[in-house]
Amino acid sequence: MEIIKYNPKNHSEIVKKATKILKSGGIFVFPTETCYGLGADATNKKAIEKLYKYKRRREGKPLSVAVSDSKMAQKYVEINEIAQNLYDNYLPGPITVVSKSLGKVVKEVESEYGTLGIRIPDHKLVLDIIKEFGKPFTATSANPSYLPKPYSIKNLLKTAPQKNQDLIDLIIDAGELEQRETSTVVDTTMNNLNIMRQGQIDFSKQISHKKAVLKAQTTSAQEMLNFGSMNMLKYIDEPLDKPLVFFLMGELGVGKTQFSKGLAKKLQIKELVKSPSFTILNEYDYKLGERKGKFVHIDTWRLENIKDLESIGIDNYLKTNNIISIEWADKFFNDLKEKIKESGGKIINISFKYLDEDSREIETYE
Amino acid sequence: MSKPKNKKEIIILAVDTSCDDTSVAVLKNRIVLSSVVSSQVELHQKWGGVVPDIARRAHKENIEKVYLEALKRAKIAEKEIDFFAVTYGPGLAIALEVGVDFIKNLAILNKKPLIPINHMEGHLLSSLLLNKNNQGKIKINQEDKLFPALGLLISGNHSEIVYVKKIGDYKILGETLDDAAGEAFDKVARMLNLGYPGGPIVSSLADKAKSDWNNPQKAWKEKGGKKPISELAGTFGLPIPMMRSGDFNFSFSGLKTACLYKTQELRQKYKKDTDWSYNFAREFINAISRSLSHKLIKAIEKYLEVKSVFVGGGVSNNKYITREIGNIVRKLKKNYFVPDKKFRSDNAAMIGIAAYYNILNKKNQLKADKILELDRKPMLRL
Repeated sequence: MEIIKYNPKNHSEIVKKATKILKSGGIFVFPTETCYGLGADATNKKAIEKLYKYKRRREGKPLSVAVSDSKMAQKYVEINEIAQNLYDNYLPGPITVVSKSLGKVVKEVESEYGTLGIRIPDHKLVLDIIKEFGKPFTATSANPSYLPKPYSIKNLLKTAPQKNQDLIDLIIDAGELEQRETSTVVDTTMNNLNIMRQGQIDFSKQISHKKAVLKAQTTSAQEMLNFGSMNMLKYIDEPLDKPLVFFLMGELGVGKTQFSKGLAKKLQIKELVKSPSFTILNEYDYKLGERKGKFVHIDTWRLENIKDLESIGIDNYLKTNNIISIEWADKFFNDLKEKIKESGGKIINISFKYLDEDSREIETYE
Repeated sequence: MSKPKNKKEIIILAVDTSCDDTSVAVLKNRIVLSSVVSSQVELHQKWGGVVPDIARRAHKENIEKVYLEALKRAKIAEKEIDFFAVTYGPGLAIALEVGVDFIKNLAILNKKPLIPINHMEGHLLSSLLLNKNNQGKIKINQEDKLFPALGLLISGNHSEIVYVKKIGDYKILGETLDDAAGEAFDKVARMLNLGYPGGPIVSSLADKAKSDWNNPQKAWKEKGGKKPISELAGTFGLPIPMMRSGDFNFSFSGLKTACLYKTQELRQKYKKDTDWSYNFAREFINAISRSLSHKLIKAIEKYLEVKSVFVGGGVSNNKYITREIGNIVRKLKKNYFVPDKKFRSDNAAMIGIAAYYNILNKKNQLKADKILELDRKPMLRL
C-alpha cells in the first residue's frame, strides 16, 4: 500500500497513479466533499470482489459509482425526468441519484432489482481521475462495513483491521476533511423523489406539499415487490433497539402480500413468504450482517379486535430487532398504534390505492 | 417397508388442533376405530373467518371432551394405547400448542412413545384409512404397488404438488406463491357477501349456474383478445392463473383481485338482481380447477414413472374440482385417490395413519426426555 499526501503540485501525478491502479483492478482511497471514499473499477469483476473483501459485503446494500458528468451517467443508467432535474440542479454535489441501470457495470454493484446509484463528487481531484480513467469507479465510503465513516486517514488506519488495510493499493491523504454529512440518496426509479438516506441536502422543504416519505406507482407485482424492498432499504439502518412495524393499509387485492415479500427479500429471507390470511401470523428468522431478528408477517383480515391480536401473542414479537408487517392494520388502527407506541416501536404507514387493473399507488408515511 | 400382518396390532391415538377443529382419533393399524371432530364452524361463522382467540379457547375447552369421546367410541382404554401422535405443524401457532401440550402430558403419563406428525403428510395419506369393516380405498398390503405417486394437497393454507417416492419420502414440486386455493374460496365468498367457510357456499351457488357460464370466446372478444382464450375461465373472463409460468407453482392472488373488481362491476350493472353470482361462482371454481389440473398434468408428464395421484385437503370436498382432476388422472391411466368424505377436511384419523407409517418405518418416535423437547412448528414443510 502506498500513501501519498495530496498537494496542488502533485495533482497530475496523483491522477495518473490512481488511474493506473484502477486499470490494474486495484482499490484506492480518495477524498470527497463528504468523507473519504473507496474506488474500484465498477466494470471489473475482480476489482469489485476485492472491494467487497475489504468492505465486507452488506447484503442488500448496493454500492454507488462516481461519474464525471451527466453525459457519462447516461451511458450507465436510464435518466428520467426526475433524475435529470437533480443532475441539472444539484450535481456535482453530495447527492446519490438512483436510476435504472443499463447493465454496463458489474452486477454486484447494482441493487438486486437492477438499479444503480450515481454520484458526481464536488471535488476536482476525483473528477479529474474519472475523466482520465474514462469509466465510473465506486464511490462508497472507505470504512469497512459497520465501522465509522472516515474523515481522516489517521482515523481510518486506526479503526480498519490490518487484514483489510493490506488490500488497499493506494491512499490519497488530503488531511482532515470537514465533517460533512454523507450524501443524500434519492431513488428516482419510481418516478418520484424517494429519499432513501437523508444527508446534507434536505429535499423535505421542496416536497413538503407531499407528506409521503416514499411514493410509487407500480404496474406489476414485481414492481410492488421492488417497492417493498425499497422501503426496507430505507429503514434498514434504523437503530433497532425497538421493533420496526409496517402498517399496510388498503383493500383486498392491492398488493399487500407482494409488498411484504419485498420487505422479506431485502432481509435476505430465503423462505417463501405466503399470505398469512389463514394462519394469521407467519414468522421468519432474518440475519443481516451482525443483526439478527424475526420478520413477522401478520394479517388481521380474520380478526375482530386488538384482543384477538394479543391472543396470537403480538406482545411477544414487539422486541428489539424484530421487523413486523401488518396487513389490514387499519382495521383497528388506533388500538394497534397505541400498542406499538407503548412498546417504543417505530411505525411506518403504507397506504395502497387501486388505480386500474394493473396499477397501484403506494405511499409511505412516517 | 415391513408388512404389518405379522405384527402385533398397534393402537394409535392421534390429535389434531392445527386450525379450527379439535380432532381426536383412535386407530388400530390402518383401521379407524373412532374419529371425533368437534367442528367449531358454528362459532366462527359470525366473523367470516377463524378467530384465533376463540380457536384457542375452544380447543382448550374441547380437547378433553373430544379425547374421552374418541376413546369411548373406539371402546379402548387409555392404557391400551401403544402410541400417541399429534400434529406439530404447519398451522396456527396458538392452536397447535394446545394439541401438542395435551399429547405430551398423555405420552409421559402413560410412558408411551409420541410421534410428531406433519399435518400435510396426514392429508396426503388419508386415502389409506380403512373403516371398521376393513374396507377402504386401498386394500391391505396394496400400498407398495401405488408408488411413486404425486400428491395434490389443497386446503385453506396450502396448495402444493408433492412427489412421493414412497411413503415417508417427499419432495415438494410446486406450491402457491401467495394465497392458497381454500383462501381464495373464503375471500370470494366474502366478496359475494356469503359466510364462512367459503368452499361449500360458493359450490352451492355454482350448482345453479346456467349453461352459458362457459363461453370464454365472449370474454375474449370483449377483452380485445389480449389474453389467449385458453387462459380465460368462462364468460366473465376470469383468469386461469399461472398457465405459462413453466413450473409447478400456483398463485391465486391475481384471480382473487380479478374477482374483486368483476364483482364490483357486476353489482353496479345488475343492482339488486344477483343471479349473475351463480355463473360467477361456477367460473371461479373452474379457474381454480383448471389451474390445479394444468399443473398436475405437467407434473405427470414430467414424472411418467408415477403410478398414482393422491388428492387431499379441504378443497377436495369440491365436487367440481375432484371430478375434473379425476377425469384427467384416469385418462392418463394413473390410479386416482380422493379420501373418504369424512377425511378430506382436517381430522385426526389422517394424523393417525401418518403415524402408523412412521411407526412401520421406525421414524420420528420420541421417548421420555425427547417428548418434553417437542415444540410446535407453525411453518413446518413436508
